[in-house]
Amino acid sequence: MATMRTLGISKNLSPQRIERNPENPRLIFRQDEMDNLMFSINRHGIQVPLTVYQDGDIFHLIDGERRWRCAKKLNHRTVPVLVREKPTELENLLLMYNIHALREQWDYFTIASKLTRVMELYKDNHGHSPNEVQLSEETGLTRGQIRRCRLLLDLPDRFKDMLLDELQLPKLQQKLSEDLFIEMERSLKTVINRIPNYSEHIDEIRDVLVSKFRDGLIPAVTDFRQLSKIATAVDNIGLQRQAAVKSLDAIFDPSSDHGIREAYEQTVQFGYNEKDAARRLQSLTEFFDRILSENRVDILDREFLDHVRKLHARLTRILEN
Amino acid sequence: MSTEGLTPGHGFLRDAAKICFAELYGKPTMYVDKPLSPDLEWVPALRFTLNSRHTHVFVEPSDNGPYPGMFRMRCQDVMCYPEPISIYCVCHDMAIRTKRGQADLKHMKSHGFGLLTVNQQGIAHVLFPAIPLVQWIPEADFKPHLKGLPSGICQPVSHAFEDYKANPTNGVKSLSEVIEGMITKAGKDSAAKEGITKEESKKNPANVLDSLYQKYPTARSAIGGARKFNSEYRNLIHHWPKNKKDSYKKFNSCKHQFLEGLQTIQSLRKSMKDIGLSGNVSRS
Repeated sequence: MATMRTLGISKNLSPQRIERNPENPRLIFRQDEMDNLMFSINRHGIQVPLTVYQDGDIFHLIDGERRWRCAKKLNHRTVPVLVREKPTELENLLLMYNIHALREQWDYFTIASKLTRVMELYKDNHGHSPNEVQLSEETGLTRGQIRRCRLLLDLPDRFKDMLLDELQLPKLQQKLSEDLFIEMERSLKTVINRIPNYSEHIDEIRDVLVSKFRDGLIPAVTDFRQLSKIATAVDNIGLQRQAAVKSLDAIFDPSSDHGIREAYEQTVQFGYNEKDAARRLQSLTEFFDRILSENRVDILDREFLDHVRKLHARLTRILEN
Repeated sequence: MSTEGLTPGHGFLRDAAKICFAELYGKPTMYVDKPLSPDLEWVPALRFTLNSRHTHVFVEPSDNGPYPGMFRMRCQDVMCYPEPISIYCVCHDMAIRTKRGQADLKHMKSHGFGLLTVNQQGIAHVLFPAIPLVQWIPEADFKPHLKGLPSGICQPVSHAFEDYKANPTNGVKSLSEVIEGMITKAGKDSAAKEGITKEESKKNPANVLDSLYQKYPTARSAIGGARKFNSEYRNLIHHWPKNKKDSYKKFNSCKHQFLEGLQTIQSLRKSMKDIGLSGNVSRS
């Protein structure tokens, strides 16, 4: 990570002279954590000074936005600050990540919102774009987090705006979430990899899926995993491509009230169950082979044998058909 | 995005409350995130003044339940601030449907706070109004005063308390009517037992008190208390506040007067019973 020299000037400032850091990607603050912090500041004051840099008459926050917001709410006349040298844009952004993201769980949209800029500035400084490992080292984020951020970053702007608007609503009023978009984008990537024709209409498809989610036709974000399974069923369970397309078309049709779950159950669920059963049967057959090869039939307990008899009866019926 | 407030959701709730209060109170000047005074360590998300009542109104949004932490932290400071302040919470209507929401709602109502709820369309409405905190009498302070009273007194006293919460002057007036009813009844009881004359018992309550005072030396303390309550009550209702400081004093006096009235009822009843009268309230 880039380093900064500390001026170490400690002073008290009016919170009104401080502004939030324009590069701070953190957009979302939760009421519970803010209330707890406010109780603490009310009782003990601000124990750790805020970190700021000066830009003209204004001081910008590097660290301590929650403390600053609480101090303003509590009408504090001054807050303790540590003034540091004004960082470069990349230093500032990387400081934000390293100070905040490691300390507590950030929302992915918060992280993603500034990640593109970090990548651009990194490219300016190093002459090449950072790969996932380099980005992880610079920002302190895990590679999994970076991949999830990228799914959000690749969204068209209007969907990002839609998500941001939603995140600014009170928690109980929010219907759309980052998880929805992450799951949706993951599954759509799979769908397009398998059936590239859909890429031409991808935005309309997103609109339909978001709308069906809002209307409850797609009741859970995890349903999108079943969307991927419909698309991969052609390769995985030998579903006819035409059947997969027909099923996906019904989901992507704005005029139908078809959700993912119904399409999955009607088209591929049995096939996947069958595949799963075949795997279990294979494992069972291997166990039977072991019983026979080790001559352990005599020591099998009664309950096990009862199950084997029941299995035998079912197998006979299936095979005679 | 809004950088004001504690959380991003607060802006949505605050704006809904702003529209609601503008319609209710004829668009008073609204202040967003502006402190009322450097002495009060709270910057409400929204505040305005009801000039007709010389009262400030604070509005604080809450994402979770209807009882924001700030209310508990600053309740005492607001009560001591020398101008009347009413406080509302604004929250999403889903927030009061939870178990915690219902419990918070009950507490905040009994603590004198008001509540606005905002629906999915962003429209706010007042679920119950706030009272200036300086006039607030906790239920826990009121209920012990009902102990031992017959239902004939208990019911009008409870009604007076309800009146008080809506309008403290009316509450004190209702309570004074209960005390006057007790004085009239004491006069009638005494006349029936040939204590004071029938003519004396038919005079106004102040004169009845004078007669009882002369006749029953052992009950003078309670009778004196009732007399004091009556004269102070008259002063109180004839004084119309001209500004917020006057208004604060009046609300404060109403509170003390109401609590004193409750004590007067108890001591008057006990003393009347001690001297052989019923200690009840006149039905007429």
